[in-house]
Amino acid sequence: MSMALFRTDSSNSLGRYLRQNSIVFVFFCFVIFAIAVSSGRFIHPSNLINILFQTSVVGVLALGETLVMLTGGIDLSIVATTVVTAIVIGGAGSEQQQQMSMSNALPYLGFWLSILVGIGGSFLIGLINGIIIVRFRIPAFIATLAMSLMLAGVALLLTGGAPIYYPDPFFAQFGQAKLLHIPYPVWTFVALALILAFLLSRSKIGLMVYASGGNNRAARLSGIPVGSVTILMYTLCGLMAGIGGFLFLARTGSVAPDSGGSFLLTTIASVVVGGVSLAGGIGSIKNAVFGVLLLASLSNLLNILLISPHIQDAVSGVIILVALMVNARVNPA
Amino acid sequence: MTRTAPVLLTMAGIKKDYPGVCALKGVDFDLHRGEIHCLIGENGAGKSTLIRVLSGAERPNAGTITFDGVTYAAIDPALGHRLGIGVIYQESDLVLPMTVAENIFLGHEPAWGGIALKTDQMRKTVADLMTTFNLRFPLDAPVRDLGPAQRQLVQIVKALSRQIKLLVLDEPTAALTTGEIDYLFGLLREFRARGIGMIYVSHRLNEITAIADRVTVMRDGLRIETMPAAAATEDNLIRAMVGRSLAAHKRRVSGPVGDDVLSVRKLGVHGQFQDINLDLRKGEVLGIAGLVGAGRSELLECLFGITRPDEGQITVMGKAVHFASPLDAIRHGFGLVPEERRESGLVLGRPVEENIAFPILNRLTTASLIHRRRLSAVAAGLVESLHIKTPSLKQVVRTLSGGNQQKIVIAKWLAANVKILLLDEPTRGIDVNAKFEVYNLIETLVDQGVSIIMVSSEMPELLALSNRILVLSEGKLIKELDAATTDQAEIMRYAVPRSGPGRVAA
Amino acid sequence: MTLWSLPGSHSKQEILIVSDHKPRHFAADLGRFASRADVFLILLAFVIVASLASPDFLTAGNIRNLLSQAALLGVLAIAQFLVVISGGFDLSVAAVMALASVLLARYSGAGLPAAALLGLGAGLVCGLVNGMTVTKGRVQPLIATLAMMGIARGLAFTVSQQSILVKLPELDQIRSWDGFLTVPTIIWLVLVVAATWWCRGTRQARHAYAVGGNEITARLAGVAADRIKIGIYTAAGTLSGVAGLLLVIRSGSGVPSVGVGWELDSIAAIVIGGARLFGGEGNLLKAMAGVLIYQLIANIMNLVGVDPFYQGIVRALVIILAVGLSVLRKTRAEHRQIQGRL
Repeated sequence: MSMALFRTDSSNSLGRYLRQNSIVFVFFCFVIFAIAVSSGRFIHPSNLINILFQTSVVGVLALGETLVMLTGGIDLSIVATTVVTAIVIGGAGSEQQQQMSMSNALPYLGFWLSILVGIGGSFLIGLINGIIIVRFRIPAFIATLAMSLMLAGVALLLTGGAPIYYPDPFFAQFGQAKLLHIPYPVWTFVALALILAFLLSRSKIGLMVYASGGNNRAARLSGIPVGSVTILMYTLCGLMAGIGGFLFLARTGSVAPDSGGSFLLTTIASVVVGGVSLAGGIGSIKNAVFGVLLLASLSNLLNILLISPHIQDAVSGVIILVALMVNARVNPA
Repeated sequence: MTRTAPVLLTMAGIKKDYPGVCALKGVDFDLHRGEIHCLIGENGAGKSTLIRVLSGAERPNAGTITFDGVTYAAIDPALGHRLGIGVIYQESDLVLPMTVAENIFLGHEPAWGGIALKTDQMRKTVADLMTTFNLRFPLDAPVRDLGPAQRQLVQIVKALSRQIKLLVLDEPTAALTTGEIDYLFGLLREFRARGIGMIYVSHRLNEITAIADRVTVMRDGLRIETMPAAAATEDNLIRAMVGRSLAAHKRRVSGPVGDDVLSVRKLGVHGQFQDINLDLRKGEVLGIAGLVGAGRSELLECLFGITRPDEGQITVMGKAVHFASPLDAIRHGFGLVPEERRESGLVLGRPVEENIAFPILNRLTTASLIHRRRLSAVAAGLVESLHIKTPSLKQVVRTLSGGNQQKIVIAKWLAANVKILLLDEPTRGIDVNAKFEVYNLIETLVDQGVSIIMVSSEMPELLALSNRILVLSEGKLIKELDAATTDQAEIMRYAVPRSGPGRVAA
Repeated sequence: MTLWSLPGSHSKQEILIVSDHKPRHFAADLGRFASRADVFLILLAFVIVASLASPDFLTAGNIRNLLSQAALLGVLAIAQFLVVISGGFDLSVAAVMALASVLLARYSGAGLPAAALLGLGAGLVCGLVNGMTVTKGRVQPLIATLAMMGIARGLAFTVSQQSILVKLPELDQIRSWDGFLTVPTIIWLVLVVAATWWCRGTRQARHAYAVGGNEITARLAGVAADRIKIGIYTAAGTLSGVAGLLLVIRSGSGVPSVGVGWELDSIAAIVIGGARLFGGEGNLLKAMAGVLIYQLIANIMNLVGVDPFYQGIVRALVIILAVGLSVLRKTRAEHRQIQGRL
């Protein structure tokens, strides 16, 4: 009976609800497990806040990736965009960094202008991705993969290969500042999650996104501008990546051209494990958020148990594979 | 040779379901050695499904297949090959980047120890095959470089490259010229002489009468009749194909029709249809009849802006139009109920109310936010008036029955206040009651001044609802008939293709 | 195989079927030209450019070194080639290489052959897991191998956070062997010969190409697609293990952090060599020429003294160009075929 509950075409609405929200249940089960295994250290407020803090960058990226996946696509350039944005904001906005910089490629723009350029650039990157994928019909993963490679080169060029260590002090402050004991970056993530969730559930665009991802052809034949909606999602994803770059700088205080190594896997895995379907049309912001929380909690628990971070990567990877396989059975594309 | 020859194949009680559709409802079929047994039927009759079950591309839900005395519950492709069943599919069944020779041997390449290819042997065999069949192909060119007729011939050689006892041909002559068809028939007669059994699926009645030993007619997933060659005259075949036991819907009383809303002149899309002329008047139902491949759905797709015409002109309400996309067509008051509602008509994972609202989202939005309540109200109204059975407006469309799903597709266009509604097989795969509800709906729409173009393979439905009926065959408009004075047999006569080799001495 | 002999002939006319090339548009033709027959010419062109650019190029030492460097990427490219022609991708090759190298280094105390076997075995297991995940687990290759990349990398760092120097006399012997070609190069060339034979002459290779070209047709023809894929991914993993061995030979140590991004380089190299990204088409020797071209570009830039910071951009541009041209070659029909694969 329990498997029947989880079938995709189950006319049982309880089954469908369970299936689409199973990540929430899994998450809470995990929390209980974590509390038990860590003798309560897991649930300590400062630890919880730490988890949230860790999730702020990946979380924002996961939001962007969710938007794109809902249309049936994928964005592999999201982390590269984040890194380049962080480089631009960190490098062009700080006088101190300018003096130390080995490369002349990044001019001094001043704090506000550098943010504008950085985030505007990420917006533009998303737009370009969308246009290449929709108008030129290049498959999403190739287009975004190529974009990520190019951005990697741009990152090298802008930094001269050296990390940026001295961004404007604003970022450190932003990273440390707290409202109600919760750091600003986390609030940013929360705010964005709420906005996007609202967008997806209440706005016309959200409805069109689900239609386009659910059945591209039928949506098009029903008068929905599928192409424009898709381009918009890629653009928003780029924007999220840009904001992610901002938060990255706030959280880490420095950025190097090869930063963000495992972020891509973590982002995509969080979203997919959370329940967003790679085929499109299924999933919500809630899925992404809980997916991010779950993977971050997992990593946190492994830390508490003093399991080396590298074993963590391996374990996370295995769990992701298992989750993907289960996902493939329960939500056949 | 046929009557006394041993039975090669017996299919008994084959059933096959797809979600929402019952393709085969318990079909029996048998074939003797050295017999050419033709299989005919209208669109959706189940011919291709039966073939796919035999070849192993599909597993039946029930029934057995007995081949050469051994009974099986199902066949998979590997078993089929071992038994000696060769299939020439209708769709291109070749690996495009690979060469002709590689395609021919795919899956049964001779190899030392199952690993090292015996390339010399293969080369010699292919050369022999080419000589035997009087063919000349550039063997090292990728199949991608060949035209459709050549690809078809490659598929034929591919099927014949294995030891076969049974050969299935699904519409093999679609891409062939007269000379090539003669050639093929010569081959088939040779195989017959050698005791190979053949199942030949086709629409082309003159081909069937030329080559068949027996003919089986299928309809609605059932075997209707099997007749020997002598009895398989065109008249008998047509009668068997179209006869209906379902009580026909009473012919509706045609109300007054208004001016032209749509005019089409010399419309054509390369490879699909050509030189189509039609006029549609306000409040009129124009039926379009024809067999699969006649170009009916393609015509609707062109009218709806899905494909761009290569030639010709479309005029709506007196103004010439060029639709760049379905959105354009919708803005001009068009709506399309596609043939495959699950693939093209509905987003199955979304709720009823959303599917209904897709074309009118702008009307229900202010400042980019959707008025959920207004949306629900509109949807509720339509659900009510169309008697759509759903537990709630928020119910996901996938869970509804075929008939209710179809009503939602229609409801969508009602919500959008279409002027011209294009219907492609509107009652396919839905139960009887829902069918009649759809008919009533069509009548109501027409009374309100909506104009309808309806493609259908069910002739009683066309006859009952249409003012006029256009018959298409192989992309051309053959005849325009007055629905009140014509009958099924006449329609079928015009619908059946005339090209082909004509009578060839057996 | 019985021959069908038609006594007399039924159709008096011989049906002469001549290949009619369908007209293609210019960009597709250009792309086709660029990658079809002429990768070797491009390679030659680069060699000429290189020797003109710097007098140091055509020295024996430089060539030896160049080939030795190319060997590493070359073995990874063989692995990637096999996976790509069957319609998949393997993003884990570089990480598995790193893992194999640290395992070898860590357990080098058991002697070189045993340690090497361990590394290869690890690669095999990773490849096997990839194959099972993609076929039985029904996970898309892109994501599945991405996850494996994370796992392998994590495991590599678990074995050792730092590079491990390998102190084995046998290894020193191999490293200091003074032939015209280094040992890694020789191993690479042997693998190229073996792989080329396999691609041209075995049934399994044909089946792999068929699965990549049109999986449905292949299955209908009786090809055991799942088994082929599992075999290919396993082979790719094992080859990545060999790359790990080569790494140890070249650098004398196992390095957990090596090769980040090399999987993309391997994809780019075989694309330059004309392999079709969506499967079904590719020539191994040309793919190896692609590797050499790729390596040459880096070599030229080094010799000329190009700012290393611009090298990254050039690398990216090369990849984009190669991939872009490859994609432009698609016809619409192939485009539809792909949609299901990603």
